[in-house]
Amino acid sequence: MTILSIESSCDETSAAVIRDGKILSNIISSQWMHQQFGGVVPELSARAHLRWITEITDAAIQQSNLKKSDLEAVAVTYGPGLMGPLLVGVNFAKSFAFSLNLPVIPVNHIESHLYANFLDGKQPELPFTGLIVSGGHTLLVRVDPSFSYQILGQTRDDAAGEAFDKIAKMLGLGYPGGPKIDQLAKSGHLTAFEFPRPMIHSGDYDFSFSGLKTAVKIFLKENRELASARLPDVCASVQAAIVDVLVAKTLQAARKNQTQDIVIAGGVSANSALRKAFCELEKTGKYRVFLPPPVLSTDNAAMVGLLANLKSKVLPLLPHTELSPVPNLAI
Amino acid sequence: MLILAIDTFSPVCGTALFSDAGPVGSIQQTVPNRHSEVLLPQISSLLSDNNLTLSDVSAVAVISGPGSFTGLRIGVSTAKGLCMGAGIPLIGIPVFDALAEIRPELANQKKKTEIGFLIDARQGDWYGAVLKKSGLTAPECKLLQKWKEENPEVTVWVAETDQDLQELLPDGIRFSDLTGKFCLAEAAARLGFEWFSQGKSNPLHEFEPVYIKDFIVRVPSNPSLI
Repeated sequence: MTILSIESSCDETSAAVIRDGKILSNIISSQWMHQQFGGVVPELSARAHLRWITEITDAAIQQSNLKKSDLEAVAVTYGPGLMGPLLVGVNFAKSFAFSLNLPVIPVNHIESHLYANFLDGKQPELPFTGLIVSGGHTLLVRVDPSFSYQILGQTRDDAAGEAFDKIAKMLGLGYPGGPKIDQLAKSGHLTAFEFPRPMIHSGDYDFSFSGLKTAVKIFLKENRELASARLPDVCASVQAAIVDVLVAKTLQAARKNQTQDIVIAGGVSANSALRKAFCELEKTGKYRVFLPPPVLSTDNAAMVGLLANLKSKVLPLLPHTELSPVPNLAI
Repeated sequence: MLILAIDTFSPVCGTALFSDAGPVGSIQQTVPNRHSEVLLPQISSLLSDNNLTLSDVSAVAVISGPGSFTGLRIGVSTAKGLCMGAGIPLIGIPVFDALAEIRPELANQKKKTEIGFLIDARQGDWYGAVLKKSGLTAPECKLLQKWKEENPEVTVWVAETDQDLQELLPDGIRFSDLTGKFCLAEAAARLGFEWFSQGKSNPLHEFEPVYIKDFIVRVPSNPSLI
């Protein structure tokens, strides 16, 4: 099965070509104009998607060395995400498919993050425990065969990536600041300052990061000069607090699920401290941890195509001309 | 030659076909906030009802705005998908050009009458253009008061809005509510046919809706605490 996939749920316009589960191309165009506004502006994002979608799709087809006529299906993210941006991807994808008499495979964005790890070689075995951690989501899920899911817990306020970005703003690191915290933390001591690990002993699988955000805010107000002088230490300590919670809860969930395989997905899975912590967990020999390669961690169309390829084997292939985005689509 | 036209700038979702033999057919539905689910099935029905397929279409004409950002986004992304897949050109039709095309039906009076076109841009703003003897003025976005003051010679204002503008207009000036009364897609198809015959089309990649009204974003003050 040769699939063209489209992703436009937030601020990345992406198109990919997948053939029999192999990625032939994966073009990602990230929108940088949101930096000056300190967050993604949906209307500007939607306009940029509409401006670039044909060129990105063209590039993906060209790089795959295939022709439009070789395509057998078009996959597209239809939620969750921002309405304006999703509308562009969904309407472009289904009309492109219609013009070539191809079926459309609607894909859930969160679900596709989990399947970013289903590449050649080492593949997770179902059932597994999945941690989806990004700027918009933080949730733990048990993934069963036949695309069935059981949500174990999720964030009650900020997503982990959102906490990283908001704390980075307080530290004057701009937006998106998560990767900058990661960079600065490399030369800092993770035990230099003590920040709370919210809900780490709550006994359930929910998360909360707004308390940590407030704790950092108070700390910065009271220790402005110290924080400024020891910025790498602050970054390392904040990062350790977030990573500790994510790892501890994931481990608790894996124990409950009695699954050996743990899959990490979403933009924050590119965080080096998180990757290191999960690699150490794997070294214990009790668990197999799957971390997507960095290019498949953030939003991209290849993961959409990888999931669509698996779904195409078990679900009916339809034109879905009526498909509309569902911004709050659940897994 | 066969032109497929798409109109999604208002609560109306309309499509029409125009060939060398003239109008082929059209469908128009009033579907506020449902264009995304209605448009492509409507195109599919329009083609099959007329025993045609997309491979018979020479070019897609799409109403390019100004109008509802969401509506235009759906119309233009659909047009881009169809054109790229079928390998056919795209023709952007500004709303006011399409409205000027249906002038006789709108004005129902002598040609010398100047007609003002308005589209509700919300927050008191109105997109508009005036059809003068010399032709159509460039589209602008202004307050209603400005439109009236600056165009005293206009005797008919035609608007796309859910407000009744008659009360706001001076005596002797007529207001006509456009919403759903005419098939703008038919006008767009006819105009698209004419323009395409003259060799006009738009570059697919660069094509964007006519937004006119700037989208203003407040740049936050520096939230840094250190």
